[in-house]
Amino acid sequence: MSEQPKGRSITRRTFMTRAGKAGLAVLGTAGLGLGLYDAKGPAGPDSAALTGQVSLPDFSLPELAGKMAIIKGKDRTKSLEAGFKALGGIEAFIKPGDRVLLKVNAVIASPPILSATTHPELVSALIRLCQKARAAQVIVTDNPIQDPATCFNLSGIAKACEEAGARLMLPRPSGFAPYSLAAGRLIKNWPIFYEPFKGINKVIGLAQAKDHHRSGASLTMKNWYGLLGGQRSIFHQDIHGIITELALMIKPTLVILDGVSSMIKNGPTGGSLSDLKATETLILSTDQVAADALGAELLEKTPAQVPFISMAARAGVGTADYHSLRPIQAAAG
Amino acid sequence: MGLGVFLVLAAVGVGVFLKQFSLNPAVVATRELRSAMGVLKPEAAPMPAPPGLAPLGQPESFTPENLFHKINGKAELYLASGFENLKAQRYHLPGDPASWLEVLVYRMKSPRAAFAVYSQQRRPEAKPIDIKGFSYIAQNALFLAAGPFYLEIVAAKISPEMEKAMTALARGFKAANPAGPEGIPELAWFPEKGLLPHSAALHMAGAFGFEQLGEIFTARYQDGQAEATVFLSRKPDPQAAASQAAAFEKFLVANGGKKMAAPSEPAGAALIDLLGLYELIFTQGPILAGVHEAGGTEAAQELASRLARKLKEKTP
Repeated sequence: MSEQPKGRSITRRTFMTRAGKAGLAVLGTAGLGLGLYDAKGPAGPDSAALTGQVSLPDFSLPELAGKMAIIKGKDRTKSLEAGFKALGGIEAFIKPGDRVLLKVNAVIASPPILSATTHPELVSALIRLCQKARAAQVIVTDNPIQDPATCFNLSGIAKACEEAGARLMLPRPSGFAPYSLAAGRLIKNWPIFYEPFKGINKVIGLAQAKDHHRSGASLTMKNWYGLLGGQRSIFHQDIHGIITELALMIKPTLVILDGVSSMIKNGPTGGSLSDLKATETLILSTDQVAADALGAELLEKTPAQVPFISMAARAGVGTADYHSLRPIQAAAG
Repeated sequence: MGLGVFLVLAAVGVGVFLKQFSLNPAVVATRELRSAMGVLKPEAAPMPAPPGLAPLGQPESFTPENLFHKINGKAELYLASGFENLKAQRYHLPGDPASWLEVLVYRMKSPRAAFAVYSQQRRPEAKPIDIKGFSYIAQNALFLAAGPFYLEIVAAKISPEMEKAMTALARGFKAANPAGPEGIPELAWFPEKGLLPHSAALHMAGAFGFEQLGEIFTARYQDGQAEATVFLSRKPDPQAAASQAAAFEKFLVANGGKKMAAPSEPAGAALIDLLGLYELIFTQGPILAGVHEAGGTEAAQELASRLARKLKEKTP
């Protein structure tokens, strides 16, 4: 690159030559950029949903804070009805016209007898109760990652939704949107399965009590893990941290923990009836931490084996001392 | 001036080049989901279906990168043990789609790795079946380790037909893969007295929460009301065994353990009080051995002495 000595003028010809070269360089660069431009973007045609952060409202009911029912029995439908009765009835939670989201656990394609997923009988019973309370719509969802249709079908949840008249919402790429948890360390600009929350004003988590190889236990707070998109398995490196943040992310109307048959070992997928124990307990709670504290007891876990419970309590999600809520205890069939 | 502009442009170019490798996770999400939805690529079935079973859906195949999609959080057990791939296929009884079962064939890096995942999930109350090697049936499921393979057959229903189908599938698989995992000599090194049936297990990595503790065999022992775990592992040479024993001892002390007076036997053993449970570590030639979480010092020493005698008898 030659430089013009300072103070020396250039000829018109030289100027025109240089300007022409510069113009060609600009045109060439623009042409190259146009050629490489991907109008669809790396996410494909559905990427519109990925623009902009979303937020999640608080679905909890302040007047029902700290409510908990512990129902003993083998029959999930009767236990669920008894649980709501103990807490003031389904009408205390669901009002006419409400649009209700049920977040189930359909993480793998597993039959109901293995208690690796939310039991379809419980899903069905809750849908019917919501309808009885004249909910305008009930949506059931999860993001199992692996072939969602198969997971919902083989777990029996799809059939339960169909028969009870709820809408089953499967994940699709356009249903995800980035979310950041205020003061979150892990959930920062991370995709969540947002579509089911659109227009919803009540959220109920329906979790199965089970052992978990990494986190010690999979209970109501871990159930929100299914809302994460992306390569969510990377969060297994800080599993207790992510469960705590998920519990901060979702402020549900209610959580229900199915400990009628608990998977006490070889979780979270199990595979054998030998992994199960008939703990015959159904927990309904507006405090996720309290529900999980009792769930951990059903799984015979020590507090040291499930650190996310004390971490969530310290983060202000709820109380690990579930006795302090004076839970209502009852027996059902 | 011209050079400065050129350097700025070059820096911008490098920045753009590097940035393209770190996509927004929301973008990765859609890619992941698409990939997961398309995971059912045509694959060969893991084994031929016996007469009387019809395929349900397509065969599936998983690698270490996407095993999580299939078995969720349990993937880590397999990955830590030397997982190579998984082939799965569901079958159902003809005319009865609700009577289905799934065959999962895990290929591990070695017969030992296959035994590791088999033994760590062993259901003690299950009943053995007459298939040579390591196998058992547990109401709705059948489990088998054969050569580098670990096989799980999980049925959605309990019925004599399903049990018959599971057994036929397992026999077919064993016939096609006759190499058994019988050559694991360490299993005979545990003393018999007090040994809980079917409790022997192999941990390929991270035993007792200590990352460096690999290829450790454990077995549970009952002494009255108390239980304890005995462990052993053959290392390349006595120095390696001694070095790992010292590292484990250091790890225990770093995690709140208090070193106690050395027991009279086995020679050179270290005894550590870890929050009221006792850890005893010793080496015998190239073998690292010991007792984990014994309820008392006497129980720990008694079990360790028994183990040392057995090792002397069984190992060269």
